[in-house]
Amino acid sequence: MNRIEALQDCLGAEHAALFGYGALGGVLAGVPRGEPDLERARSSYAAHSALRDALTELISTKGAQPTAAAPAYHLPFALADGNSCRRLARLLERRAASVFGLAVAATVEQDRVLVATALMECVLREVAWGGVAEPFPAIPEL
Amino acid sequence: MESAADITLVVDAIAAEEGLAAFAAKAARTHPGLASLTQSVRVRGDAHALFLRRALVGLEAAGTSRAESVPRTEQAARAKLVLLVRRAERARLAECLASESGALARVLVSMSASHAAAGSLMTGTSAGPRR
Repeated sequence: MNRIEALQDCLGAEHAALFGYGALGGVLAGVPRGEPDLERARSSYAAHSALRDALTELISTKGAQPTAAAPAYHLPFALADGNSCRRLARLLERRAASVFGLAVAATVEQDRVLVATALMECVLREVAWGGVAEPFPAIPEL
Repeated sequence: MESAADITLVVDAIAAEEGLAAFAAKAARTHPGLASLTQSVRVRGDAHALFLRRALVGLEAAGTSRAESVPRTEQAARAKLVLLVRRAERARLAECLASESGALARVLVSMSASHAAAGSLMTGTSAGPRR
């Protein structure tokens, strides 16, 4: 995988994460304002949105056409309540972190700084959503 | 791993992870009240060091590590544990960015993220929901 392909994969993961957060945000929209899950969903969405924009700009400056978002993404399970929303959020962060991990291996210098930082933030958000601190996050085969 | 710089970096990381695990074990003996906290730090440090040692097999023996002293009070020991975990987080990230090998960089950033996650749980900064 070359550097551009790796960054495109990261952008694809961000599109998917944003779709997922949009879906769970719809379920959480009914909870009272100030509820931790709702606030966490908002801040997570904002972080992924900023990262999507940064990746889009970075890929463009390298002369490539940024990957577009798909019209829709398959959700792995139905979102019925807060528990399923938290589970989806953990999954979204875990999947994105794995993609960023591969990108860390394929990049150098400032590009690596960007994807490594993004990976760290994904892992921290997964923990914030109730995940555990594993020895090798973002490396599914370990 | 072919780069001499990467080998040096791994040797340093092994010593640091083993030092962290050794401190956690020592702190658990001195302050049994910290057992659950120190256990997870020790397990992670041991897992990281073991993985890196395997990566070095046939190349060079890694140096030995020494555990830092454990403060007398439980509160101070806990604070030092958090400090060492945060230090490990920063060091593995810096090593990731310096690594010439992409595969090694991926492992090091994972280790850094692991310490970051543990640090956030130890200090309660993740404020995550209970499952």
